[in-house]
Formats: sequence, structure tokens, C-alpha cells
Amino acid sequence: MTNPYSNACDEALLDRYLDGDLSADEKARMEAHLEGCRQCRRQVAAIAAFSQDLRDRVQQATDSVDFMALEKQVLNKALRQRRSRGGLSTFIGSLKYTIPAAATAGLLLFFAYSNYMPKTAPVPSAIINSFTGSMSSVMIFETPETRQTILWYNEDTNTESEQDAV
Amino acid sequence: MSKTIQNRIVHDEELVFQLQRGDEWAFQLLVRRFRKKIFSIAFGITLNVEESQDIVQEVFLQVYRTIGNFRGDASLSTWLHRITVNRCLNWKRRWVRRFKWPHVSTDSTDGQPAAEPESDLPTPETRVVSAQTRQQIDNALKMLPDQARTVFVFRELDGLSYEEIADATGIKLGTVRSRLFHARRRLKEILQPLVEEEEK
Repeated sequence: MTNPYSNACDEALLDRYLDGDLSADEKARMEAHLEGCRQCRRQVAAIAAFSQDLRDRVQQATDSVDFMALEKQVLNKALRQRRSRGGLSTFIGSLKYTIPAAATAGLLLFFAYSNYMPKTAPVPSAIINSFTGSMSSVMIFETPETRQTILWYNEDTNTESEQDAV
Repeated sequence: MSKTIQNRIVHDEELVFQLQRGDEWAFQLLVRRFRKKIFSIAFGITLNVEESQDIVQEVFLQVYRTIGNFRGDASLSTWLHRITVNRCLNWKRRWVRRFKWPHVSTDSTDGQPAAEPESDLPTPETRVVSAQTRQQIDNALKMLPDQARTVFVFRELDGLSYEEIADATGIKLGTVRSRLFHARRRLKEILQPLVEEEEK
């Protein structure tokens, strides 16, 4: 630990020294400590050298990049993005008016049809079947809405037949 | 920060205003002004030239898409730093998923890296590393936890203050100091054998 007041090593303070975060007084004391402490000196030198190597390494990598080509790529992609967004927003924008217009037209057609179309009377449209028996007659016919069945009963019952049945 | 285009000085505030209006020359100026800075941060974190170029593109395209949401609470530069960091960390996660790349948890701040699994697959680094020094730097940086490395790169490459790093990474000031402290402590441990070797 490099405490400038006690002249002992203080790792945290050494860290702040590396960041240039010490007051003038703290810095002077730290430098005095470093003169007499080989271990701290080596640590400062190692970190400083590493930082410099890192900066050189990044600079080397930066020099290897064609930034004009990179810029061109970015601009082209941005332009494409803008165009596709423009197309999509135009389509969405057109939907904003088309959908309500279509819905309104649909509603108008519906009301016009239900109000102005002539209503058909529920008359029979076809007789499906009919037969006449001794006691009753049956007629089945259709209207546009339903299928109806009508029964007629013969009131003059045949007594002989009834007696035969008993 | 300001720069000239068409013989005119444009400050960052005006640049943002022009970008929000959709001016294309403003976007070009933004790219030209920040491309190297973003690349160097991306490279410091990823240690890969190709991926860093992709990250630069992604950052600018994200800015292009979302500039309308930029309210100016932070500076343009801080906002760009923040997007870059997020992109870099996402990139790292992608590689971890794809190749089980040697990875130190972002939650880990004790500086203890995970053991490197052996793999025959080419890592992003091995494609660009050639010299011994470069390899030593890359290896040392790789052994730092992601967040500690990010803070270290901002401090050493960009010379950002603790406050600026806190803004760019979205962490507290005390956490910035702590991560920087742990990053340097870990680097000292890593570099110690190399220093001793050189002294022999």
C-alpha cells in the first residue's frame, strides 16, 4: 500500500496516480515514495508500458482499415434502410386511408341493400309433395324461408272401417 | 467537438439537430467524425479487426434509425460510446454461443477468468494476431472480465474521465473506480512473469 503520508505502499493510491487523479501534494509524496520503492516503480512501469503497447496495437489495427470504404458501406446501407422504410411507410400511409374508406363503402352497401331492396312475400315457391288418404290429406310445400306441412282431416269417418279394426 | 464540412464548422449539438431533420450530409459528417474512435473502442474490446468494422457499421446504422429518440440528456459522444459498448458485449455473447469462446462472466468483478477450453476452431483473435507482443496484449486483455476490460479500454485508449466512463457504461462512479482497480491489479498479476523474464 502506497500511502503518501506513511510512505508505505498503497495500491489504490497508486491506481489514482496512474490516472492522474491525485492532488499536487499527494502526487509529490507518491513520487517520493516511488523513488524509494522498487516494487511500486516496477508496477507503474509495467502498467504504463502495457497501456502504451495497447495504444500502439489499436493504432496498428486502425491503420489497417480502409475507413473511406467503410464510410461508403455505412452510407449505402443507411440509404437502403431509408428507402425501404420510405416504401413501407408509404404503404402503411396508404392503408391509413384505404381501410376506413373500404369499411365505409361496405357499411353503405349493407344499409342500401337492406333498406332499398324489395322484400319478397313469404309465398309458397314449390309444392314438394301431396297425397290424399281416406282420413286425411297432406301437402308439403316450401317457402323461401321454411318448409311447411299442412294436414287435412276427413270428418266423415268410415264407421265400417272402425268396426273392422275393433 | 466540431469539424468542418463544406467549409463550415458544425458542433455536435447542431449535428444532432441536422441528423434529426434527416440531412444526409450530417450523417456522413457523423460517420467521418466518429468512425476511428468507435473502431478503436470496438477493437479494444473485441480485439478483432473485421468484427470491429462490423460493429462500427452497426453503431452508425442504429444511430441513423434512432436519432429521433436522442433527447440530448447525454452528449452525442457518450451516446455513441454507450451504443458501441452494448454492440461489443452482444458480439462477445454471440461468439460465446457459437464457439464457446473463452469467456469471463460479465457479472464477475473479482478478476478471476475461467479456464480456457481447448478448441481447434479459429478464434477471432488468432486470425489477426501475429507478433508476440500483440499476442501478449491480447491474452492479457482477454483474461480481464468484459466489464473491467471495457472500463480499462475507455480509460487508456480514449482517456475518458471516471464520470464519462460511468455515463458511457451506465454504471456508478464507485463501480468504475473499482473495475479499473481490479483490471489493473489483474493485469499486474498477468504481466508480472513477463516483467521478471525481461529483467533476467
